[in-house]
Amino acid sequence: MKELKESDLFEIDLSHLKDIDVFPFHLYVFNPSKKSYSLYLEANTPLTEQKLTFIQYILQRKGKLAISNGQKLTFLSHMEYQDEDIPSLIAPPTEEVESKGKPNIVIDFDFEDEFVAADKENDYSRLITQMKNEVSGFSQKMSHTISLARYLVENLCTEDNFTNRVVCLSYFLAKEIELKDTASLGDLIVASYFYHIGFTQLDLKHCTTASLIMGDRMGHENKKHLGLSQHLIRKSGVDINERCKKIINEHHERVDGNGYPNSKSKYNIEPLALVLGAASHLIEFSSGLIDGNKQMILPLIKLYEKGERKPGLEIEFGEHIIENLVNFVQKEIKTEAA
Amino acid sequence: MGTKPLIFLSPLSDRLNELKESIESTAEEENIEIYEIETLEELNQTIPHLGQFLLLTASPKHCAAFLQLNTRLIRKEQSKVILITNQFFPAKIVDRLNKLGLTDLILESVAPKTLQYKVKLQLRSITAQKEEVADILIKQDEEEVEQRKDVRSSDEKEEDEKQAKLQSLKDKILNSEKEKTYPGKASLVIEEDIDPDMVIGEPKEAEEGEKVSEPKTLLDVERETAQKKANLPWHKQSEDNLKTKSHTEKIDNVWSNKKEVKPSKDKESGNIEGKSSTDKLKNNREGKTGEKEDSIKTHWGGNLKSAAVKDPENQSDEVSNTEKLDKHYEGTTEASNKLNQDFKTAKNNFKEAQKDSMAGESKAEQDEGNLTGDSAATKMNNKALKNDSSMVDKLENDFKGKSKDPANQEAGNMHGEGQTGKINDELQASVEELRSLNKNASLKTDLSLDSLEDEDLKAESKGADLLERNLSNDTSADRLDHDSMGSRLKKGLPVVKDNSKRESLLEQVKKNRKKRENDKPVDGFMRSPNIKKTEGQKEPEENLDDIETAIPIALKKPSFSPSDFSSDLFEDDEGIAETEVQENEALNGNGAAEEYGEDLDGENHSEEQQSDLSGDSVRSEELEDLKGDSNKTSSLEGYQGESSVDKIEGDDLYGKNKEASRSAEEEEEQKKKRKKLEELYALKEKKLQELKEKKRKAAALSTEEDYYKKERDWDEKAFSMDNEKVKKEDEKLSEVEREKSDNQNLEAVTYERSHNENLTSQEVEKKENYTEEIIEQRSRHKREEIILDDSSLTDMERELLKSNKDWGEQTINYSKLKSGEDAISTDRESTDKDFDFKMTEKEIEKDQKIYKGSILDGDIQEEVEDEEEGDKVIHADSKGIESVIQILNLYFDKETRPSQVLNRTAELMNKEKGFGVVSFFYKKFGTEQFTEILNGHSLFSNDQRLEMWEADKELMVKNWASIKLPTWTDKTFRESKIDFIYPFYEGVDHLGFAVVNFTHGMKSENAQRIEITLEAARAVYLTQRHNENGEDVIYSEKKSIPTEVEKNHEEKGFMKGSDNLIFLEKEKAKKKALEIEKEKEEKPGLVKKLWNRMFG
Repeated sequence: MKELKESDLFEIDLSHLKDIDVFPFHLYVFNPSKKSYSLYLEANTPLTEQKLTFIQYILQRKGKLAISNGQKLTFLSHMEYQDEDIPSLIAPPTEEVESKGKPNIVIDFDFEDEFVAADKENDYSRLITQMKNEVSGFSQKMSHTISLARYLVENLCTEDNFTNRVVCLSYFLAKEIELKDTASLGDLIVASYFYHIGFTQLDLKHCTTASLIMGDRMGHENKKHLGLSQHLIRKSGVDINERCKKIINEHHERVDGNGYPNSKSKYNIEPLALVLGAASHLIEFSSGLIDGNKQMILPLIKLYEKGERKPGLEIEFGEHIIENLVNFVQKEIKTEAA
Repeated sequence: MGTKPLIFLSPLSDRLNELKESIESTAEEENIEIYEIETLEELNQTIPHLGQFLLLTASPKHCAAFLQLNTRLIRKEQSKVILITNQFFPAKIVDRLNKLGLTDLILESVAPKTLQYKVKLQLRSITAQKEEVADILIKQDEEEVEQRKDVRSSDEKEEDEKQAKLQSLKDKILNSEKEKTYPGKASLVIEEDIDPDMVIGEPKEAEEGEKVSEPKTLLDVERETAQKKANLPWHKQSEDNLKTKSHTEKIDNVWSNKKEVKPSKDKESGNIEGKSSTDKLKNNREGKTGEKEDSIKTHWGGNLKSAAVKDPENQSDEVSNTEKLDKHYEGTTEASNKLNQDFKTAKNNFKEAQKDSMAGESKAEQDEGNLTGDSAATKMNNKALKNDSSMVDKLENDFKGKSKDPANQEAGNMHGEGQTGKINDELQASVEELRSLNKNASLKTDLSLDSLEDEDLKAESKGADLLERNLSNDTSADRLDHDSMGSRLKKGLPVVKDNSKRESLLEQVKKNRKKRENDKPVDGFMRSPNIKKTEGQKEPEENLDDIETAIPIALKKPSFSPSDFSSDLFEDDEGIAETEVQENEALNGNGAAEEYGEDLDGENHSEEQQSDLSGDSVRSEELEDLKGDSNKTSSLEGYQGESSVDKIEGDDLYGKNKEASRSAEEEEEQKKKRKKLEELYALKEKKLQELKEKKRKAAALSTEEDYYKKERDWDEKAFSMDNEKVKKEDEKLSEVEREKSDNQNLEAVTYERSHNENLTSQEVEKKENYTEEIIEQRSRHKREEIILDDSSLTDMERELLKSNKDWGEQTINYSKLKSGEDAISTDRESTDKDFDFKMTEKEIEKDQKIYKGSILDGDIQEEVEDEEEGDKVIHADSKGIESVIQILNLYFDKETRPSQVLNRTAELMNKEKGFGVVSFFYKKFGTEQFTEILNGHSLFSNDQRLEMWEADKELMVKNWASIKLPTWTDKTFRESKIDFIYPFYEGVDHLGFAVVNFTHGMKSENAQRIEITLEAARAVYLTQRHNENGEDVIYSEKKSIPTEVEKNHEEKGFMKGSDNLIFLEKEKAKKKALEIEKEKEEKPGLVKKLWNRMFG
C-alpha cells in the first residue's frame, strides 16, 4: 500500500465532520508512531460509533485526521466550509523560505566567455548575477554556512564592487577546478565575503594602497587584517564552519610557502583558500591594489601561461589553479594568436 | 598485431575534428584504425565485425539511437562510446545513457588536452582486434554449414538405407517414427523449402578426405584407454571428465569426422547394422539428428516469426548463420503482426490434418488416433531422442573424460554388449529410486507408469521386441492421448505450442550438439565454451545454454526427464483444459506418452549401455546424488526442488507461452504469500537456513553435480523471467561465439560479471522505481482504486502489510515486458550469487556516480544535496556582518571620504535595520574635546527629535565620553527609549564614540549586530587619528615598484638558518684546516731548522 505524504493531505478536526455519518470523501488517519498517513474510512462508508471512538482515541494519542488534497473541494462543498474554516488550510506551510530547490544553472552561460567579456569591459555584473542565480538555488537545509552564503549573496550581490568580484571569481574558479559541491562553494562564498572585513579595523589607506608600494611597516600592519577579520567574526558570533574560517585565515598562504601568516605550503593549505587567494589577488591586481595600476586580468593570466612573472605576479597559487585560470582565457589566447 | 577500431560517427563537431586530426597523426603508431561512419545504418552494420571498439560522436541524438540499438553488443564487447557535446544534459538523461552503454560524456568546453587524454585512455583499454577473428568466424560458419550438410547427407543415406533394409527393427522404428513425424508437421514441412539452411552448397570433399584418415588410429588408442578407465569409480570419472575436456574435444572431432565420413561408407553401415550397436547407435543418432534438424529447421522457419520476440535465445544461433539473420530480424520487427498469422496457419494446418484423417470415416477414430497418437508418439520420440542425444553427448564426454585417447571409446562400446543385462538391472534400480522420489512431483502418472514400466523393462533386454510392444501399447495410449489432443485441437493453438515447445527443446539439444561439433575442427582457441570453462567460473552461459541438456544429463536418467516433461505437459494442459475430464484425459495421454518415451528411452539406453559400460553406474549414482541434493533444497527453500526442473523446462525453455507467464504469475503470487508468512513467523529460522545453505553451497561448489544444481537453483530463482532469460540466453549464445574466437577465459568471466552486474543494476533500478511505477499506474486510473484494494484488507492485514512492506521476490512490470525491457526484478533474498552481484553493483554504481559527477556540472551538487540535506530549513543569521561588508565595500574605493563611511553606517543602522539613529563623536588628538562628526538625527529624524537630541547631547556628552565600554542604558531592553554608547579606542587612546538612540525600544538580539556595525566605522576614526598623531608616516613610506621579479627569491627563513649552520660549520672546518697548516708551517722539520740556522 502506498503511504501518503503529509503534503498530499490536509488536516481537519473531528468537529469538522459535524454529525454526518457518511461522507463523499475518504478519511485518512495519521499514525504518530510511524509518522505516516493511512486510509481509515473510505468514502460512502458510514462512520459508525465504533469507528468514531477509534478516531477519537487516535486523536487523543497525537494522531491526526486528514483528507486528501484531491478531495479538498469535495470536502469543503459537501461540508459547507470555506478554506478559512479549516486551520490547516489557512496556514499552509509557508514557513519554508526555500523557493528554489536546485541551483539555477543557466545552460547557455559560458563562464569563459563571460569572464573575458567582463574583464574587457571591466563590468562583472553579468557574472555576479549569474553567480547570484546559482547560489540562490543552494539548499537551505544543509548547513548554516551554506544558508549564510545564500543569504549574503542575495543581500549583497546587488552591485558590481570589489568584494562581489572576488566572490564571483573565486566561485567560478572553484567550480572550474571541480570543487562544485554546495558545501565547498558555500564555504568559499562566505569566506570570500568575510576575508577582508579585518580592514575595517585598520587605517583606510590599507584598502587603497597598492601592496607593492607599501612600506615595510605598512606591509606589516596590512598583514594584521587576517587576525582582525577573525576577531570580528568571533566577536559577531556568526556561525560559520571551521573550513570557512580556515579559508579566511589562509587566503594569503601560497603554494611555495611565501605566504602568511603561517608560511604554509602546498598541501597544507586549504585548496579553497588558494582559490580565494588567487581570485582575490587577480581582482586586486585589476583594481590597482597590487601595483597601483588598474588593468585587465587576461594579460596577467597570459603572463602566467607563458611562465613570465611580473612584479606582483610571482605569487604561486599552485599549478592546478593556474592551469584552470589559463583555461578560462584559452579561447581568447587562441583567437589572438590567430 | 591487430588494430584498435576507433569510430567517428558523423556529424563531427569542430572539437571532434580536431581530435580526429590529432589522433590520425599518431594512428599508425598506436595501431588505431579510424573509421569514419556517416550514418547509423552503416554503423550498425559495421560494428558487429569490429569487436571491441571506441566510438566518438558529437551528436547526442545519433548517440542515443545507436546506444539503444546496440546496448547489448556494446556490453558484450565492452566497447566504449564517448559523446562529446556542448549541450548540458540533466543527470537523469546522462544516467540513462550510461545505462545504455555510454562510457563517457564529455563537454566540449573541456580542455583539449583533457579530451585527448580521456579518449586515449579509453583507447588504451581497448584490446586490439585480432585479425584472425573474422576469418575464424567465417570458417566457423562454413564448418557449421558443412556439418549440417554432412548430417543431412548422412541422413539421406540413412533413409535410403532404411528403405532398402527394413530387417533391422530399430530401423523400422525409426522409419515409423519418421513417417509419423511428418504428418504431424505438415505445416512445417512446407516451410522446409524456404529454409536457407537447406539451400547450402555441396560439402567440401577435400576437408572430409583429410579427416577420414584420422579416426582409425584414434579409435585404437581410444579403445585402450576406455578399457583402463572403465573400472574407475564414477566420481573420478567425472573429475577426469572435467579435467580432460580437451579430450572430449578430440573425441568430438572423432565423432564429427565419423559423420563426415559416413556418406562414403555405405557398405560399412550396412555391415555394422547387424551387430555393432555402437555404430548403429551413431547411425541412429545421426539419422535422428538429421531428421530432427529438418523438423527443427522447419519449425524454426515457422516459429521464427511467431516467436522471434519471445524466443530470442535462438537468435544467437542464427547470428552465426548469417543467412538466417534477415529472417530473424523480419521476425522481430514484424513479430506482432505475424504472430497471429502464424498461429492461424498453424491452426489451419492442424485442421487440415484432422480433416485428412477424418476423411475415411470408418477408420476415423483409428486414423485420428494414429494421427494424434503419432504426433504424440513423435513428440515422445523427440523427447526420447532428446534424452538420447543429450545422453549420448554426455556419455561421449564421460568416455572421453575417462579415456585418455579417444579411440578407446570405440573399444568400450564394442565390448560393452555383453554386460548390458547387468547394467539394465542397475538402471532399473535407479529408475525405481527416481520414481519414488518423483512421485510427489508427477502425481498419478507414476502409478500407470510403473505398471507399464515393468513390462518395458522386461522387454528391454531385447530392444526390438520391446519397441513393438510399445507400439502396440501405444495404440491404447494413443487413443487416450488422442482424446486429450482432441480437446487441445479444439483450441488448436495450444497444441501447436506444445509441438513448438518440443521443437524448441530439440533445437536446444541440437544447438548444443552442433555447437560442440562446430567447435571441434577449429584451431587452438576455437574451443567449445563448455570445455574452456573451469569449475570455478560457473558460467551461466553454459547453464542457460545447456540447461535443457544439463538437467537430463545431470540426472542421468532418461526416464526421469520424460516424467518431468509429462508433469510439465500436465501443467500446460491444466492451463488449457477447462474440465476435469479433459484434464484427466490429458494426464492419461501424458502418461501414455511418457510410457512411450520411456520405452524408447529404455531402448536407447540399452544401446547406450552397450556402447557405454561405466557410464551407467555413473549415471545411477550421480542421479542419486542429485536427487539428494534437490531434495535438500526443497526442504530448505520450500518451493524448490523437483518441481523446479519442470519449471525450468516448462518456462525457461519454451518461455514464450502465455501459460508459462501465467503460471509464472501464479508462482510469483504464491511465492510472495509464502514469503510474507515466512517473514512474519519464521524470519530467523529462514535466515539460519539460508546461512546453512550458503555454507553447504560453498562447500559443494567444487563438484560437478553441485555445479549443475547450483545452476538449477539459480535458474529457479529466475525461472519466470521468461523474456529476460531468453534474452540472456541470446546474449550468452552470441557470447559463446565470441568466446570461440577468443582464447582468454578471463574475458568470458569478466563479461559474465559485467553482464550480471548490468542485470542487477536493472533490478536495483526497478526496485527503486517500483513504488513510483505503482503510483503512476494507479494514478492513471481513479484514485479510489488504491483505496478499494486497501479496504478489502482488514486492519490487521494492513498493519502487516505496512510492517512487512517488502517489494522483494520477483516483480513483473508488464508494461515493460511489452517494451522488451527487463521487467522482472528479483528479491535481495535470491541466491547468494545474486546478492554478491548486487553488492558489487552497488559499489560500482557509487564509483560511477562520482565519475559522472566530474563530467557534468551540477551532478555532484545534486547528489551531495541528496546526501546531506536535512529536514529543516536553516535560516542564516549573519549577525550583522553583511553591514560590515557593505561598509567595507566603501573602503576599497579611493574616492570614499570618511564622512561617507559614517553616513553609510548611520544609514544602515537606521534604514535597513530600523535600529536607531546614530551620531558619531570624535575626540581630537591631544584634546579632551569631543566633537560631533556626524549627526544622525539631522539625517533621519524629524525636527522635534533633532531638537531633543541637541538638548540631550549638550547634557550627556561628558557622561558618554567617560564610558569606556559599550553600554546600553537599559540592559534589559525593556524601555522604549534606549541609548547605546559605543566608544572607539586605539590601545588606550580614546578616539571617540558613537551614540545610538532608540525611541521605540529594541530587541536584545540586535545588540550585537549594532555593535558589529559600529565596529566597521572604526577605520574612519583610526585614519583620522593617524593623520593627527603622525602615525600615518608609515603609510607614506612607499617602495618603488620593482621592475623585475627576482628570479631566485629568497629561501624561507628557517631554511636560511639551517643553511647558515651548515655554512658556519664549513667555515669552521676550513679555519681549522688553515690553522693546522699554519702550525705545520710554523713547526718546520729538523732539517729545515738546521738549514735555517746554517743559512739564515
